[in-house]
Amino acid sequence: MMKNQDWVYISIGAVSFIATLLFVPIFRWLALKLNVVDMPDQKRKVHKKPIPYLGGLAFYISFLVVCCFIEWFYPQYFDDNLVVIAVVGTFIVLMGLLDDLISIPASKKLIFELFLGILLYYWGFKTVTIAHPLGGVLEVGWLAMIITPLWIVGVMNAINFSDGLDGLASGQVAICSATIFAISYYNGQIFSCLVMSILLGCTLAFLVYNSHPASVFMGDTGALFLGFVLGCATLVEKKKGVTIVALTIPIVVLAVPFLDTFLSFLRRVQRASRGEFFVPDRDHLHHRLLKLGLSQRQVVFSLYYFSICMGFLAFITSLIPSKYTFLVLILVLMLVGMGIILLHFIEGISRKNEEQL
Amino acid sequence: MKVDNPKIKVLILWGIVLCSFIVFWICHVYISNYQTFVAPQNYLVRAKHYLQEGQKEKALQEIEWGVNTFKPVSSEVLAFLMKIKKDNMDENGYKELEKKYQVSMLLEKCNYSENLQFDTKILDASEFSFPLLSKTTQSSVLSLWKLLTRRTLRCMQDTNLSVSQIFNFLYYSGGVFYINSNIGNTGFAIDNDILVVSEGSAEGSGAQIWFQGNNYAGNRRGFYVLILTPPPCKVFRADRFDIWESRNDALKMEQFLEEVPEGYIGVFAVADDASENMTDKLEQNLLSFGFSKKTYIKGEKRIFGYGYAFAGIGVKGANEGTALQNWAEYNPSQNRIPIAICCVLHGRDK
Repeated sequence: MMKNQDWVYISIGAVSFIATLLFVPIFRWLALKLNVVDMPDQKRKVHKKPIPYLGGLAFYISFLVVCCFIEWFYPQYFDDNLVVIAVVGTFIVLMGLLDDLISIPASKKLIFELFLGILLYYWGFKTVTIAHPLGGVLEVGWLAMIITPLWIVGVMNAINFSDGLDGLASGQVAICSATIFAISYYNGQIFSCLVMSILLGCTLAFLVYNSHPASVFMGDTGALFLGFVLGCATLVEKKKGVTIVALTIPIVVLAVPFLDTFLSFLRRVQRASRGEFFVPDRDHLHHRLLKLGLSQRQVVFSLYYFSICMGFLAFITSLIPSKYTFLVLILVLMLVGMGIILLHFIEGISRKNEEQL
Repeated sequence: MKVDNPKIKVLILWGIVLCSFIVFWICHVYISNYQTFVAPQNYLVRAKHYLQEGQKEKALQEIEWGVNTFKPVSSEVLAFLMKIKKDNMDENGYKELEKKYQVSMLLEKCNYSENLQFDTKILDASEFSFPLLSKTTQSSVLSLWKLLTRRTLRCMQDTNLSVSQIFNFLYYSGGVFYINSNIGNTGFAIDNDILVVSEGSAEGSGAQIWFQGNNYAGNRRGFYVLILTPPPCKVFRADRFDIWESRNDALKMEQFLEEVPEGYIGVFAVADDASENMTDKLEQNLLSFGFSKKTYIKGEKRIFGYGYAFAGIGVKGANEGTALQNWAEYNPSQNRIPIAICCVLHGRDK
């Protein structure tokens, strides 16, 4: 039987969906008017014609609209943390816009993101425990001040890096949101459920315009904002006694974007000696899958599929005692490792075939 | 309109973002003020507003509703009530209110002090007169006080109070007392004294159910239940259900309460928390003892909420809202253990 609370989540998701559905065409029109479009190139980009940016602004405005909606219709569910997210999110959006229009150096962007992460820490968004490598949880104490900004920046950039194909980032965020919603719902974590309902509504509506062939992109503005909200929602828990397997579940849920970010980081470290640490490349997971001959749609759906599998794994993780969660992390690492080896292997065969031809 | 200068584009888009944020902020402030005003728990804000507008009756109505709905009542609320009632209240009633205010102040100070010195004289003269108590009950009261001050009201651990002073303290601190043997308005009466203390969420909190000189509760988390037969009252069953820990215990408690025959007396006390796995059916079973949803939690009427103290004495089959119940809200931001006390006193046999 549906509870009152279920209707709250459904209506919040619906308002978020409708708001995004309405705002995206408006910002698409504005992007065309202002000529804020992503031009195709022969390097990293895979689209063939100019596509307007600014779809991400619709997420931000929809988020603000939904916050007001919750405060008006469901004041008992309204949390001041939503206001904190809106305030800090505004800075993220301003930075994202600046990056979309006059690309800013990645190092400066990183410093600003870390600063906002520290700000969030002081506003109560923090993790006090992390998964212990040998099982159970570990109190992190003052280290929380370092882990929190790193977590926020990590999630933001992971989502941003995955925004390379039509519908990939929004689809992955939708899958992550649905998974975290299910886990939070099961554990009675209201704030997390609220935020995930908003994200789910936003991203599903955005997919209407962003699925291949996309008519609008979210840009850095959207990707960073989505990552930021996702990161924040996984950091807040007020309930006494509930053991949050801190960050383990979000790590499993976000395994695909994190893996991509990690591999990208390793490549950048290799290039660092040439002073190219902050220079983007065309070797992200989706690029590599495209090189193997998969179509854009096939790449997106295969990464969705992997994310859904990770989502199920995360849900199972949330059901088992915290002392065993490290086993799931090992399993995830093994799966990811096997995936990388398999990808290398297939790429090797593909290269050999090309050389033979 | 074609804008080529990227800096102007940035300015336009930043303008849109900042304007949206300002609109959001104005809406948020407006809605927040409105919701603060209409939220049930903010009855003091409303009462002050009505008083400022010269609507004294409405202010009084509002504050009295709040006092009966949200517990514990803060000293600020009692001070306002004293101010508003000063002119149209008899001397005894006003004195009682004043003492409630003084005890409330004491309890608030108790949160920050390990050893509180206070004038015990305020507990001497009483506007509240309880019947003569049997020796067994008197000794139960002393034991009750000892446990309460050892676990919760630690600031009064070294304060020596007489039985009557303890009773006065419990009464002025918001305890609910029925001194004529009646179990609330259920229409049922008892032939013995029952004292119930519940301590809500906090480290080391517990519960006490005193009947015939025995304590049927303890300091383990959960919902303590004592079932008594109709007069002559004898213990029928007693148990504890850790509803916070396990849903299974909630189901067991459902079954336990269903098996209680009509007319039997149910005595309930929460230790730490008993709401985490509360089921709809269990709530219904509690209502069947004459309890009712008297407080508001997140805008919804409930019997009690997360971490609340709850003490109640009811009768299976009694009409909803007729049983004796008391509760105290758990506020994690305050260093105060919620305590709910209720008693039905029969007095000494003649």
